[in-house]
Amino acid sequence: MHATRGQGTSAAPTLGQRTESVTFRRSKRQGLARSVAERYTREDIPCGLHGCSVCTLNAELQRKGVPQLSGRISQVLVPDASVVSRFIGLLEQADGLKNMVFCQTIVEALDRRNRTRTIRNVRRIANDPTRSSVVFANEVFAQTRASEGGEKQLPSAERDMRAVLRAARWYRFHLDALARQQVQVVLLTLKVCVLVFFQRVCGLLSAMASDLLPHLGRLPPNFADAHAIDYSVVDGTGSQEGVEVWQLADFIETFHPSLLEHFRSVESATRDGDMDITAQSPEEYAQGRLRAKAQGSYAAYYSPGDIEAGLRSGTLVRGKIRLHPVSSFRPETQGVVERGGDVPDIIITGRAALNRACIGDIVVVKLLAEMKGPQADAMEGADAESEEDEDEVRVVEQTDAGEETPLETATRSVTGVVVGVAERRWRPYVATLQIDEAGGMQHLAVPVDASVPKIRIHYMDVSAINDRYFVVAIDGWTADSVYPQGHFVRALGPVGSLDAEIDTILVERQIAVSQAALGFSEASMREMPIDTSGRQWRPSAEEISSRRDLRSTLIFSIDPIGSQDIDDAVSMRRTKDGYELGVHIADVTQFIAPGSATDSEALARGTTVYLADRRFNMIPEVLSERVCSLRGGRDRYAVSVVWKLDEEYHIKDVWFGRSVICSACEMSYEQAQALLDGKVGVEGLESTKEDALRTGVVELTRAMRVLRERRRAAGALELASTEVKFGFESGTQRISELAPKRSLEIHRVIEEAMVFANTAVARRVHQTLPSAALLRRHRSPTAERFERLAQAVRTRGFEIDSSSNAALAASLQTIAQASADKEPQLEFLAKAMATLAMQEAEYFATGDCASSAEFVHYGLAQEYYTHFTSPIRRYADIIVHRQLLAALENPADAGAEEMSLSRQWVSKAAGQLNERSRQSKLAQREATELFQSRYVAQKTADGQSLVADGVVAEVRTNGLIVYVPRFGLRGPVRLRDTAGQIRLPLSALTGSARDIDRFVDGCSDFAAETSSLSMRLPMNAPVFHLGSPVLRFAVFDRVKVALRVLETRRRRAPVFLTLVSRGAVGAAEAKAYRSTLAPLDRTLRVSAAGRQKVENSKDSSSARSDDATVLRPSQSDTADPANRERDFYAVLDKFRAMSILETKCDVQKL
Amino acid sequence: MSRQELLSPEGLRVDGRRANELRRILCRASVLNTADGSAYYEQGNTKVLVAVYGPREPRFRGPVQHDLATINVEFNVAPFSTSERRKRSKGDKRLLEVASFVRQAFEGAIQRSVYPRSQIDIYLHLLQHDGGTLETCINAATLALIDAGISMDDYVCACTAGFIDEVPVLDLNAVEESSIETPDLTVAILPRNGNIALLQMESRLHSDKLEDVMDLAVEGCKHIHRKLDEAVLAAASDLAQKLNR
Repeated sequence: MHATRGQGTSAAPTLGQRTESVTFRRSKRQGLARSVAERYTREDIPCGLHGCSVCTLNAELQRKGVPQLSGRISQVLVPDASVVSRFIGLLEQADGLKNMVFCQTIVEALDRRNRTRTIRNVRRIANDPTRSSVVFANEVFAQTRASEGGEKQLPSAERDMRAVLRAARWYRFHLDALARQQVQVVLLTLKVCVLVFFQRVCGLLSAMASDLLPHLGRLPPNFADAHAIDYSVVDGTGSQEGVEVWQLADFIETFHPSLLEHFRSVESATRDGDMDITAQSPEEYAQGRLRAKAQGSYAAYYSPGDIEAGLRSGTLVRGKIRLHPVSSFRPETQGVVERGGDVPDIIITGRAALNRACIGDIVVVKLLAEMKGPQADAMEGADAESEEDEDEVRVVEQTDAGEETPLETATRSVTGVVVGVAERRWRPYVATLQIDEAGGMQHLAVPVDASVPKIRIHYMDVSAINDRYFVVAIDGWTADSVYPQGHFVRALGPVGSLDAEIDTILVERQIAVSQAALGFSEASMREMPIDTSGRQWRPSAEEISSRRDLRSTLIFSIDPIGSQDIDDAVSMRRTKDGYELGVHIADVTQFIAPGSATDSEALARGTTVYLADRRFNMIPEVLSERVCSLRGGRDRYAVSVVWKLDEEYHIKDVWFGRSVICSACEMSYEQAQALLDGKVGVEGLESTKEDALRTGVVELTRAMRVLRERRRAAGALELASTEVKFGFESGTQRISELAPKRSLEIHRVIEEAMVFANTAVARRVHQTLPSAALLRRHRSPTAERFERLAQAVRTRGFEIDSSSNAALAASLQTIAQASADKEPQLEFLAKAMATLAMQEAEYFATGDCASSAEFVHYGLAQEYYTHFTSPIRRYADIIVHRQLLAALENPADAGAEEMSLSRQWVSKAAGQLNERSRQSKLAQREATELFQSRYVAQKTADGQSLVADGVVAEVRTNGLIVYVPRFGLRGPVRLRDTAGQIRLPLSALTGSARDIDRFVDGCSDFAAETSSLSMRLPMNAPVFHLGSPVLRFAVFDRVKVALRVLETRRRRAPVFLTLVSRGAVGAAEAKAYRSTLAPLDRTLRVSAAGRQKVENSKDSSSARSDDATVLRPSQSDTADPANRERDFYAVLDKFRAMSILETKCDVQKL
Repeated sequence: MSRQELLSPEGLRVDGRRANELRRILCRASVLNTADGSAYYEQGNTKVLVAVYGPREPRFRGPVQHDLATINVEFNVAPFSTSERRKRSKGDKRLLEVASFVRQAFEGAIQRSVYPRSQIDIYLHLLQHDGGTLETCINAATLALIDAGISMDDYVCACTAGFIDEVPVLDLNAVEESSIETPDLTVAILPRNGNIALLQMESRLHSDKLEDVMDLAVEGCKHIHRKLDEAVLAAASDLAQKLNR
């Protein structure tokens, strides 16, 4: 390759002398490090004076657009470092100050103090052509470079002052050489002492005494001392030429009196600050910074010996830490170490006390004082939103799934500090990049999980990972570093893309490193039976002979539409003296040998993960969808539980064992419900089978109703969850439908049958394997946890008795019955809150419990419970299957050597499965939120508003959490920003979605309590249709909200809500203003009487007066006329249209 | 690290140079008596000492080529080379990378077929670091190889150039190099025919600008060539003097 290039730029060096400058640099290991830099001094530095005949380079700079000193000037101003650093605001804003020369010395001094902004201001002045100011490179100019007193001397304020003086003197000299003696060179300073010293040195005192004496009249009292000190730094080579030295104050007073006020204000504003860089030497500054940094870092951990001793003596405690991130009501990160039992939790507050502990770490904590009562912020709950450093709003929400135990449940707690980390639980984190305009290779990665600290990473190419999710791993966290050090692992994809978001969920929940990694290995595929369309898998005759043949029994399965993995089927038939009920579960263990590749993979996965539009299987598809799946019309292996029941559905006999079945039909829930409802000719069912199936379904339902009632009497709870269903447009990722899942009776029937089977199996397994059975329990929650629920329902006049599950179930039942027709959402919300208050159910090995009393399942009200019915999608069921089969084979042998029967192994597996199922549940929830957010984004894409009815689910300190039943989502409604400003959207008063981004000014008296929130509207607001100037929101109030998504570059775009109108008002307020509205109400009703029966409207009005919450949100004119006049809101709407203009309109006159 | 402007609007760099100026170069051949060839080379505050041994019988049989000499380059960084003392392990990948670049640059220039079945060792020692490690190493190695009397087609002269605020900038120092926005291109050429021996850049640079940046670097190489030439002449006359005495 030839490098034949034309004459480009000439590389001939025209350097003068080479010198070196020394600076201090903060260094990680050694505190302060000296760093040496080269410096080449040169002769070709231009003065920057327009039209200068000597400096030829001026013209070149001018061509490049660098402003110059004006040619027609009377003064050149040379501010010194103290003036520039302290009065930069004045210099920049006061346009009258022109022709300034900023010495490079000052710019460098500012740089050493990290005063980047001041440098930027200097540059802005120098770039402004109207200011005619320049930056003068005096430090590299051979004629102005101040000596340093030896090459390795550090820069100091004195030296810098000298350098500025030399620069000023050079200008004097230069102007003289240009024969422009009339131009004054003025050095501006703040220091009287410097001034005197300079005058002495230059011999100016006598020459200019008459001019300067007035300024010298203000010497400080300690002048003599300062005087003496300053003499020690005298620069002997003073020019005799006249540079005028002025104190800035006097200069302003004399030449720019109009700026005096501005000067005074800047002076007073900067008096105490450390704006003036000459007050401290660079070394002192660097050391100060170092000290500040050392204070900001962490205490060293205790030695292993100390920890051991402390743990033994009880002064230290070991435990797993949970973290609650910073929010606007929680100024510092808070950690909680739970100790279980009656011992209070340990609260660790603040970065220093947490001492580098990360979420999930096993830490060693030193106990401090015990705190009385709950935390100060205890009852406030988490914020709906909190501001993050980069103006991004994060939504912190604690909602269903009890994994985030609210802090307020701790009635008494102990504070502590972390003194050691026994075990790090770092995992790969998904993060985004914090944009740092300074560039460089060191960056901060901001994890998506708010409770994980930012991580320092080293990465070359910022643009490649900007606005993308990427995975980072933490490598270590030294005591002197604010953030942990980590490294970039790999990029996931752009923020906002569906696949990257799903990958993010998978990585964050430790389900897989990516979607692609969720395939199965070749080793496990080799273990699979073959089932292709050409060669269908069939049960072997040999195997059939060893199993109970149930192929002649009518067995059917009921699952959601389109289910491929059918793991349960049921049968129900009448016998001579009662019934025979069968629950048949796919025999997965037949195909998965313990310890095989598929088995260990399935254990590692723990469960199949269903995310709205996709599914990640626990076992390979050939098993889950074909060979194990109990498809209709195919012979399949099963593990069956068959009960003989008497006429009253009491168990007479139960049989467990392997079987072979042939499902008659795979039905959907909808089809089964249709059968149950007595529909003839159900779509998709063979008419020949219909009657037989109907009998089965009806018999089953009858039985299950009885069993369910029995269980409910024992105290079983019915809890609510927000499961939503998404419909997708085929071929695209667009969501066509979003609705909460409908619950049919048949759902509960199947659920009951499964509970019945699980319970039976749990008893049977525990009987043979008293110490190694894998059961599932649900511990009873403490009464305190129900406090919030109790307070909320009290606003509606209900009480919650949480003394036992039966009492709680009864309370909820009362609420459900009383509110079913008036406020159907109340029941749901109350149940959702109850769910939140509960503990999570968990797997355990029976041997780990002291007595069988601990086995109890609180929610289902069962003494024994386990998971047996879904081996295709849960690994726990596989273990239980193995245990059951082993127990049946050898009832006496409890201490088998088989792995799945040993207590240690089961206990370990139970822990692992609890974790996996928790993570998969969270992943499912996150995916639901993701798709909900995408749906809302899709609906609001072209500026449309999406308005829906909602119910206030929770009250927070700065807003509300509103549940929108139509989409099954909860979202925050923010009414106060982080600065504490009340932000009530105008739409809350006008009811128009157009006003969601305008706010009502002048709201006051913001008060948030546990279950209600109120604010006072301004006097001029169009409020009278609300009846009261106080706007109040309580839990369970109906509201209308506009849904929007918050676009962030950081994380999944959260949905947030804006109030559009209050759907209803509190009872008290309603009563208060009903009287004012009554005449109007009556007028309208009478006018409508022509179309409507009068009694009817009277009924409705009397019903309404009982409780204002009956009121329905306004309907449009197309609404059923029968409802229309009952609709309070229609009246209010008309009224409102007028009321916006006339606030004091007399109602009577209308 | 300093966030100061790397190139001021007045066209001056942090150390007082203009965009197209090299740092001061000081170099001397034959500084070590024990080695077959040696050189000390200083460019600004980056200082390198090189020792060349060979051509000699290879220590290990493995890499021997029957018709060519193998070149072995080792690169070491003195712990005191930066303001903060820091020891680097021998297996440090960044060191190995520099060594391999130097080897690549010389494999084309050394007439390896003149020394079949033999090995030429180049030991590079960085004494002080202030940017431009690779260029100084190549330049210093050239000098030492010439001092060792090893047949080469030509000098190999290397120079870096970067691109700051839309201006091509010659010979970056450590402050300029550490800024991520600055692309950092190292070119090594054989000055007589202008062939390129090495072209290395790790950062992004718009292809339109590459030509300008490379032109500047090549200009720098030519200047360095003159400096090296002077050093070789000085060493030769020194030797001649010693012989004549």
